Parts: sequence; structure tokens; C-alpha cells
Amino acid sequence: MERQDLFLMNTYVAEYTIRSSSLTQAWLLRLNALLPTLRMGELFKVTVLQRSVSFEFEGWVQVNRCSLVATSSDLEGFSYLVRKDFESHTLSDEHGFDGRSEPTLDVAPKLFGLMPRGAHIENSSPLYPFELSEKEFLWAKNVTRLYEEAKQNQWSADIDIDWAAIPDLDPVIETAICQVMTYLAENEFSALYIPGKFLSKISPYYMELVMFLGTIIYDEARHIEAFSRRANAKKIGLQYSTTATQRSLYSLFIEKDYFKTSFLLHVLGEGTFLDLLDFLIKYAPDPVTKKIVTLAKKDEQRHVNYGLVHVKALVQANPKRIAYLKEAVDSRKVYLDEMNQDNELLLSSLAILAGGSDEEGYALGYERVQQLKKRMGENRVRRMIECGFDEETAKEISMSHTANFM
Amino acid sequence: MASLMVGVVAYDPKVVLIWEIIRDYAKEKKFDLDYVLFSNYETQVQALLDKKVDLAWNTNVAWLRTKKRAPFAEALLMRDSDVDFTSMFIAHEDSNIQTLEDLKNKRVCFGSGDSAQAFILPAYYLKEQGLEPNRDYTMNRVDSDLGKHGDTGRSEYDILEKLKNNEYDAIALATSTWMRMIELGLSGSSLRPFYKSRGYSHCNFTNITPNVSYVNEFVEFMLGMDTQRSDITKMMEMEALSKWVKTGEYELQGYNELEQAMEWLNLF
Repeated sequence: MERQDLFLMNTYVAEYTIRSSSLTQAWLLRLNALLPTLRMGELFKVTVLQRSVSFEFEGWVQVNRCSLVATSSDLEGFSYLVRKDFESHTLSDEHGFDGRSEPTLDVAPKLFGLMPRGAHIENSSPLYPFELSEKEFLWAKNVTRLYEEAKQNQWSADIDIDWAAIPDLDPVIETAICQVMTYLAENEFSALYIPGKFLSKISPYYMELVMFLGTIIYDEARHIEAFSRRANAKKIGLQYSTTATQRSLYSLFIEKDYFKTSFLLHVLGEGTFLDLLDFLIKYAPDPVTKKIVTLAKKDEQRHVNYGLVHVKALVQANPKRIAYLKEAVDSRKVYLDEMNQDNELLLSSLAILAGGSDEEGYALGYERVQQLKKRMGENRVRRMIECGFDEETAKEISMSHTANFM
Repeated sequence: MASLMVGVVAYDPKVVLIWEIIRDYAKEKKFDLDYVLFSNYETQVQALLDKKVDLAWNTNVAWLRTKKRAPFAEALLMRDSDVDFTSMFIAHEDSNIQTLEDLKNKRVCFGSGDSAQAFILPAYYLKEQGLEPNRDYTMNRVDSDLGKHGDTGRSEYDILEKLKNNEYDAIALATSTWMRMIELGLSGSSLRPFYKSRGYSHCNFTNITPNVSYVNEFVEFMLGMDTQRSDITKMMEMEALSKWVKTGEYELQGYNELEQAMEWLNLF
């Protein structure tokens, strides 16, 4: 085919006419910005009106790793048909976040930046060390829905809590509240840091999960704020942190495996917390505290729901993974057993809230705390069975779960 | 067997980054390759002739000097951007300089004396038009970074300033440098290229030892680079190529004019 014919045919995908008398910085930007939008081998046409610009444009073609396919000149000026000779981007045919689409790949692309799924990555982009890139070990079917729920159920410790309505309580009761709030805030720090620790390792390809973990982090921030403010609302203020709680949180904090952590934190830890929060909803002495723990529980339920679906899918795909999770609980128990696991300050405060501070009331409260622990154990077993564990293993794991609840 | 040693001139800190990527990639592909940095091309050429390195990544000037002294010298491989490299002459738009002939009795400033693109070839283009230096026009030069054969481009930026200050009527530089100047906003609104040269060949990997097995292995390794990989793409962007190409007949002919120019200027 005659090269001239190429101009007549519809062979090019873009066309520019440069009227200025030099290749300006602005034109250079425009031409440079055209290249990423073209695929290797695609043609574009440029007409320049001035000879000096044609020198420059030919230079641009050479420097930018393109080649001249055809040239022509007439009264109009000089026309060039240019081919892009390299591939600059890897195209994605996926949809990004739209509330419906799921990531389609089992393993996130190795070359993937801090960008939404569906964007086209430039091939010379750096390789991020996203260690968590396998869908199976990250994804849960319900994660997009949970993200939507998280958005709809946002609450504010400023707007939704009537801090002025906290009554002046008996100092013993108020102190018990403050101790419980201190303990809750400690645990919520754990629930904030742990997803945060893994977040930076997850490929943004799984953007819905990344965004959902973002909501968890903010949920926990809000809980920490609300629990701390409740403790500080009256004269007594934040109380004692304990080695028992810190050792339990530490043993979770150092766990490196995301799947194990998801099980320990969301299923066992936050799952157990649901029962604890129920207990506080029932026995909290004032409506403000009741409201705080009620709102917090709703958030925690979402976190548990992610863990349940996530763990269930992995266990269903390979039931041998139950042994892997049990091993995580067992090795944690070995560490925790080195010292007393019980947080007496917490248990005693719960007893006071549930029964009272006099001898009789305290004994009743103590009994109620014992029942709480039993219920926590039963519900842990139930949740594990829901995930596909056999009852016997579920009971063993439940027995080995931290006495700190989380 | 010892590693295949490639000599490379360190004209910019990025040279180390480029060659670290190539070396890492070679290691991954079980190709035993290493590099040695030289501060200038003269030392590198001598090291190649003394067989202290196996191959050298040479400018066109370094290649021709090697070829003069080593009968079996062969150019193996180039960047695609080394083929049909061009130079330009630039003048003020309102200077009435439209062609090379218009430079008669004018003041022309070139870049470094060892730069093919900013001095040797442009001066030769004028000679071809019958313009002898310091007879038909005033020849001036800014010798920045001698030994780097114009790789740093510094002399071209230096003479651009002089043209802007009207110290000279025209300057010569590489088209790629002019593109960079436009990008950086240095090209000024009144400066125009009035001449662009024919294409000529630029750098190549030079071998001087006949019948050695590593030559083919090296060429295959370089041509086989996975251009989809992020590290290789990055290296290629830094080194300004989209692919490596074998030096063939056409590419070799691209050195002929420079050879004549260097003979004329006594640069061998």
C-alpha cells in the first residue's frame, strides 16, 4: 500500500494540528499526555504548519520512542503519521468499586499501585510489597455489604451521646464503670491496631476489603473516644490497665498471619465481646453508658460478621485449616499460661455492676459474671460450629481462649 | 568462569541504578554479568583494548576510536533511540537565519569538543556547505564535561544561555536535548531550530575479541529482556530506550559521516 494512503484511511486514533510557530511547553505536555492513552502500534496524526515546528516534532517522535510511519506536505503544512512503539500501561478490564463488582482474580496482579481496581497501571510503576494478595485468604462475600452497613451506621460520640445526662452515681459504682471503660478502651486499641497492621500489606486490588478495614479502624477510634470520655465524664476518670489484659493483647498483636488473626480477633475476641457488651447493656446503671455500649455492639457485630464469613469460607475450602487455627489458639495459650490470666479488676467491677457492692449483691454479681463466662463459651462454640468446626474441637478451642475475652 | 565485565561511563548517578537493575536481572536469569564504572570514555576505551573489560558501552566517538585501534572491533547492540539520532541548529527567530548557508560570517557556538551531537557533526555539516571554521564563520566551543562525549548535555545547556544572551548567532545541540529544554521551559519563546540533521548512530556495546562465546550470550540476554516487567520498564525509561536492537548494516552506516568528521577534525 502507498504510504500516502494511510492518511486517507481511518488508521489513526488521534489527530492534532499544531499552529504555533514553535513546539511550546504546552504542546509538549499535550503530546506527552497523548502517549499513555495509546496502545503499542496505534497511530496518530499530527499536522504542523511551520517548518521549525516540524524539526521539533520529528525530534519529539524520536525522543519519545515512536516512529514516523508516513509524512506528507502540502499547502496546509506537514503531516505526520506516527506510531507508538512501546506499551506503557497494562490495561484493566475490571470495574472498580461500584458496590456490586467483586475482584475477579484469585491473586492480585503483582504490578498494582495505590489505586482503585479498574485503573490502568503504568508498567514502570514501582512494585509494592503487598504480601497479602490471595483472594481466598482475604475476601469475604459480605465485605461490600458490610462496608455499606458501616457507612449507614456511623454514629458520633458528640451527637449521639448525651453526656450531660450521666447521673451522679455511688462512687463505688462509678469507679466500677470507669474500670470497665478503661478495660474496653484498651481492647479497642488492639482492635484498631491489628487491622491497621495488616492494612498496608493488603493489595489495593481488594479495595472493598481495604475500605471496610478502614471503617473498622474508625469504629474502634470512636469506641476508644466514647469509652474514655465515659470514664472521664465524672471525677473518677480512667482506671488501671493490667498485665493480664496487656499480655493477651500483646499475644494477638504479634501474630503475623492474617487468617489466624482474623479468627482470633473477629471470631473469638470480638465475638466474645458481643456477650460482654450485652451484659453491660443489661447491667449498666445509667442510660448513657447503656447507649454507648449499645452503639458499640452494633459496630462490633459487623466486625464479627466479616470474620465469620471469612473464616467459614476458608474452612469449607479446606477443613484441615481448623487444625491450623487451633494451633494459633494453643500457642497463644502457652504464652498466656506463663502468668495469671485473670483480670480481677475487671471481673470484680463487672460483679459490682451486675449485683452491687454489698456482700449479698456482690455474691449475686459474681454469680452473674460466672454465667456470663459460660454464655461466652457457649457462643464461641456456636460461632465456630457456624464456621464449620466440629463441636469437640470448637469446645477445646473455646476452653483455651484467653481469659481476657479478647 | 569470571563474570562478563561491561565497561560503563558514569556520566550521571542514574547509571548505577540502571546497571544495578540489569545486573540483578542477569543474576535472576543465571547470566553472570557485572559492570565497571569509568569516569571518562578514553579510559574505558583503553581498558577495553587492554582487555580489562570484556565489553564497553560506548558513545559513537568512543566506538570509532576503538575501531581505529582494534581491527576486530564489532558493534553488537544499541538502544532503538541510538538509531537515527539527530542534531539541530538553533537561532533567534528574528535573525534571518533559515539555512546552514545563512551562518556565513556569523558567530556559531558548539558544545564540548568530544560531543558528536553538539560539535563534531554539526561543524562537519557546515564544512559540507563550504563553511570553514574561522574563515567563513566564527567557531566557538564550550568544553564542559570533557571525556563524557556530550553524555551529560551540560555544554548544550551552557551554550543555550550564551545564545539567549546574544553572545552568538546560532548554536548546535542534540534534538533530544532541545526536547528536554522545551520541557523544562528553557527553550525561550524567540528561539527556533532552523536545521535538523540526517539521522546518525549513537551508542553501542563494543566487543574487540573475535570468536568469543559470551558475545552471543550477551546479545541474547539483552534482547530477551522482559519488557513487561516493572524493573525493566523503569530501567528502559531511565536509559531512554524502548528496546535493544542489533547493530546491522544500516546502523553501521550511521557512523560513516562521524568518522569522516573526526578525520577532518583530527580527533583520532
